[in-house]
Amino acid sequence: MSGHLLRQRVPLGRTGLAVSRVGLGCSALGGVYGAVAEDEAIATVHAALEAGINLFDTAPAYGSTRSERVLGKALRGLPRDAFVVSTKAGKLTSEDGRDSFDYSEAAIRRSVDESRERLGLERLDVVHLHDFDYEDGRHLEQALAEGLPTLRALQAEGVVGAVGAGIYFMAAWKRLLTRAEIDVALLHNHHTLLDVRAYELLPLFEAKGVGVINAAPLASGLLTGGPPPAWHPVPADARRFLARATIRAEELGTSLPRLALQFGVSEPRLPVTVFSARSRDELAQALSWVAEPFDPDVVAEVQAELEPLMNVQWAYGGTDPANAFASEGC
Amino acid sequence: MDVIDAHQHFWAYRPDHYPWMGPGQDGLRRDHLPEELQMLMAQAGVAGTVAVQARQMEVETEWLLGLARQHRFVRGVVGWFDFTAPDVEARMERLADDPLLVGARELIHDMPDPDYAVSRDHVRGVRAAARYGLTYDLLLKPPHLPAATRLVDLLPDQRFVVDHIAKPPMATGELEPWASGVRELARRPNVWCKLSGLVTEAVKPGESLTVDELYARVEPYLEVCLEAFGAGRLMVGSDWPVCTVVAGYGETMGIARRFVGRFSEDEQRAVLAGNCVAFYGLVDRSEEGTGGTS
Repeated sequence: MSGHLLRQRVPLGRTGLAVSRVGLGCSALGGVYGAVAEDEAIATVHAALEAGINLFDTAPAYGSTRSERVLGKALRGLPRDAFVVSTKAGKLTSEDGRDSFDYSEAAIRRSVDESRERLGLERLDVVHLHDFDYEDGRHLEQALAEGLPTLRALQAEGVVGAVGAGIYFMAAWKRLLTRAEIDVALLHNHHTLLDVRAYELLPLFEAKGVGVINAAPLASGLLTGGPPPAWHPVPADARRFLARATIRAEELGTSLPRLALQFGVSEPRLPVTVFSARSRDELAQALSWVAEPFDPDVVAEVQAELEPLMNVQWAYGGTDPANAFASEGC
Repeated sequence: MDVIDAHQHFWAYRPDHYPWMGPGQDGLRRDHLPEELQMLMAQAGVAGTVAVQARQMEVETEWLLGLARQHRFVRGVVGWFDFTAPDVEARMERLADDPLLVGARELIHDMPDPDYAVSRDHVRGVRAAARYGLTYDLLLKPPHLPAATRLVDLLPDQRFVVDHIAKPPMATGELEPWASGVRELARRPNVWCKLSGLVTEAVKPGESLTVDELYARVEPYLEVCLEAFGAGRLMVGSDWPVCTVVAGYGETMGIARRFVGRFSEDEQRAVLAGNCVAFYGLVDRSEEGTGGTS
């Protein structure tokens, strides 16, 4: 991906939205990967806009609403067509990191209203139902029966542009795509150096005309070359493989995060990728990396070190909800 | 409200193993083991701890991990590795599978070179720790703050925590140059800070102070840390048994808790436990069998 491609706009499925091929993931600006001063967070959003980025992905859960608040401040006063905001509903995280989930009509309506307030926007371009596959699948029924229809109703009322889902577990994606309609998918951690299960889902998205936002090319912090964030469910015995991959990448003249970003944005069927940056410097670094060509042989060598972790389903927010579906005979 | 003590030590005392114990620290020259701490924690309402290395030997790291396995109140271990060893990465790899090993530490504040933090071996060692998923404890005195800041800039993906608020001279009340150094370091998002070891630096040799007097000495320094790091990157620790030279375990933890008492409930939960759990990635051991003594 070369630099001028940041100025390109690609359609996001059938939503009518045209977005940049790289988007800014705003979880880091909410402090999810270490505290970020508000002025630096705002400056990072502005630097992204200047670089040609128009897609910003956030969520009420990121940094206990801090991510949305700071993004709202940064966007205030800008022309409404200068940016596309993708946010989420259904999950909240308290100041001390505890998650809570509620996909009832009342909770989703309240969440969307509060997001509009924090972001200073009448209309949210995309709202994803967030992490409803966590906690062993116990929220799945409510999410599909109540949460998604509520987002559709809000879409009809004009306060939500497009309806999406941001989940993780493969079985939940498959079930969602067979049972419900979404306009946009926020697909995270399934097109990285250690997980390529996006390939299983891409035909389903394509068949349904779902616009896909590919997210987390650094595997939620696993591929930065440093300690993963503490909330990451990766077990300690995976450390050695991540370390070996880091060392191998350096031996081959690159670095793990650099290669991870380059690989993450390289799939033609995933033309839109969002990733996080904690500062203007990190953003500039990442954008220069994704503009460089990379060597597929180097990817293969580094992936060989990561083989024991390849396509491993991490226990984000509980166990795989596939177990819960099996008991329903589905 | 759960409290995690982010910084304590254990040792089976031998004079040649702990040469840093100085005059006036005779009380430290005996065994300090989990059973004793556990009683003190029960009285003070502390649920878990992070055990930190106190001796520059890798066998100590393994010994601490062994104690942690037996005592589930020990939620994690910060170990020591020989950063000058050419095979430091292999040494880390050997222990890195153990989820109880959460970080590494080197005694920067005892190094004669104020720039030791950015010396070749040290940077290499801290980078190796990062690769193996181990956080890094910065044990500093104020003159080491500028080099520590340069180290953090070199390794933006490592997670660092400053031990004992970088040991400002709280007995004299001087804030500078410590305060400026801490503020500059805290501008990096990947640095946290332990409100620990507070009583040790608050007294002059031979001085005996009440808890209120200690608190009055410490509070201005805590204000600087709060302003610099915010409630999202602070944690509390005792530095037991080193603290016992000046004050008891409960009194020492009480000083940090008194300061935290004015925060919102969410912030208190974060500073007293959540930030420490998140920084080190401490595993929840509450479901483990009761094979150990807790």
